[in-house]
This record gives sequence, structure tokens and C-alpha cells, in this order.
Amino acid sequence: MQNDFVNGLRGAGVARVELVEGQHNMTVKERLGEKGIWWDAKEHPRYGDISAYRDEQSDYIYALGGPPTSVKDFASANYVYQVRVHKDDAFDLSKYEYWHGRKIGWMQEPLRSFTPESAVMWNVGQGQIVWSPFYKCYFFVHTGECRPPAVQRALSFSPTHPARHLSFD
Amino acid sequence: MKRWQKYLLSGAALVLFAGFVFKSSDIPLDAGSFTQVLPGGTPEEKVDNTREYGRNKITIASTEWLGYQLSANTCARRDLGFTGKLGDRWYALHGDALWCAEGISNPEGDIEYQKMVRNTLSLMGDDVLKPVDLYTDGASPVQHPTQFFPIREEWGENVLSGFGGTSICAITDTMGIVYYAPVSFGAPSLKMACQRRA
Repeated sequence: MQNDFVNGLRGAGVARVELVEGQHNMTVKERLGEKGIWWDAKEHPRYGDISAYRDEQSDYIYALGGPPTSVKDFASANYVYQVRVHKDDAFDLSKYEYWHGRKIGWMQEPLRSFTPESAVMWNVGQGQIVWSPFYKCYFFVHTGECRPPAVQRALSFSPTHPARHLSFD
Repeated sequence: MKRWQKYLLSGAALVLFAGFVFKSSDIPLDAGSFTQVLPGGTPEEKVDNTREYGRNKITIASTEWLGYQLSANTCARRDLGFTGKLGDRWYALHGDALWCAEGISNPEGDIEYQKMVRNTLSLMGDDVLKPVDLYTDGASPVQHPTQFFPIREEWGENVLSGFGGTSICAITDTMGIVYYAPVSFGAPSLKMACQRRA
């Protein structure tokens, strides 16, 4: 089964947003990259499309996204890949590190091999990562592939280790 | 659909749920390795680091349907949203927002729509189902949320272009970064987009 979701996807971009002084409001100060794109979807995962998270445990920012649009088959197109960057370097593309799997780890070389080994999750919708100070682990609460979209699962998540799906009674 | 499946994604941790605790040293490097037997009986070593590992010792305690997330100050239906914290406040970045049609002030129920914007910004407060939209059209008596990320027509963007932003990630207490995935087209027309989303 081919993945038709990729139609029209241009890539992944980043933007700097700032609070308006004295107000609980913010503006978009700039969108970086060529026509607002840092990672072209033809070659790179759409980092941040699945989730973006500022880790309060380490000052790193993690961005997770699906594979490039060159990955066509349904199963392969549902793997998720990740990058990280220290918050102070977030607007410098050259400082990003790419997760190449547990054996190789973080590399400054962009990921070019999109496999279950270099992926971090499979078949998850968009969601949000939350740190639990009580259980001392991360949770990824996400939607599923069902229609209409709904919160389908939550799973314990670590940036570099296999996830566990939590059971719903 | 079970009741828990209707719970909407929200930045506030409203659902009591549990996870498991594993120290990084507890998970061996080859946790993703497994042997697959091919047709014919030949074993092949594979690695899949997305496979679950270990035993989950904790289950979900309970879930509770709280309701649809709407707005404290505008009349629209929303698509998926993500929250992020800047300073001491949480902000939500939502996707598509469908404006309720003229004359409609209650977004609940079976309603008509008049317009759609592709991303909105709101301030989370005590009522997670009623965030305050920070960009509105100022209309009276009913306001509608307007676009947070300005459309860049020189890049080929228009109101039909999908956006796909996720959580605002704080760099400082007053500045953050947003990752997004723009789409060249979202729908052939606004009318069709509203119909598709409703």
C-alpha cells in the first residue's frame, strides 16, 4: 500500500517566536531557510512534524518527524526519526545532531538511511512529549491513524531507548 | 468508539496515567535485535529499535472525557493543537480553525462554517477547554481566530496552504522556536476544506 499522505509536503521549517514585551502574546519574528524550509521533504524527514520538545532535563530540543517523501511504501513511511540541538544553538542548522540508531548514536551528519534501526517509533500520530517528575520518565501522548483523530495511546518515551505502549483498561 | 478515545490532546496533563521507569543502563544495546525466519526457513538477523522492550509494570489508572477544546473568546472549531511554555505561561498552537458561520455564536453542535485559517495561537489558562485566542478579527458580537503565522505569498503560500506546526519550544523565557511542515496545497477551495474538516 502506498503512502499518499506525502502529497504536497515541502519539508520542515523553523521559526523564531518572541513574546511581546509586557504582554502574554507573541509574534513570529522570522522563518528560517529557503522559502521557510530547512529540511527538504524529498531528502530529509519532516523533523518537528510529529512532535517538538524542549527537554527541561537537559536543555536540548528534540524534533521528531516522518521520513522523506521518497519513502513510498506504507510501512516504511510510518517510521519516525529525530534530531536534537542544544537550545542555545537552535537557530543554527549546522549544530543539529541526527539520531542514527542506538548503535551509532548522535551524528552531525544528516541521516540518509531510513530504517527501523535509525527510527525511534513506528505508526504514531502527532503528539506531545511530557516529562513526569513522579515516574521519572517521559510520556508521548499522541493521536493515531484512525479517523476522526483521537488520543489513541500514550507511551513511555526516552529519546534514545525503545518505547513502551501503556495499556488502557 | 470508547469514551477514553474521545479525549482530546491538551498540553495540560489532565489524564492520570502511568508509565514505567527504566534507567538507560537497564536497556541493552541490542534490545531491538531479533531473528526473522524467512520463507523457506532461513533465519535473518534484523534490528528494529521501534520495537517495545521489557515489561510495562504500570497501567493507566483512569481516563475521563472532559469535552471539546473550543475557545474563551472566539467562535470556531479547532484541529489538533500543541502546547509549549514560555516564561510562566503555556501557549497552544493549533492547526486548522474553522470559523463558525455568520449568526452562529455557539461552536458546539451541528453548525455551518464560513472560513478557515491554518494556524492559531492561544493562551492556556485554568480551563483547558477554553484557551484564549490571542489573534482575533475583533468582530462583534462574535470574534473569530486569525492566522498566527503570516502567509508568505512570495513563497507561494496562501490560505489553502497547510502548515503543520507543533509545540513552541522555549529558548529563553521570552523567545522560542517552532517547527512546522508546510504543505503546498490543503484543499481545492475553502468551501471544500470546511466541509472536509467538519
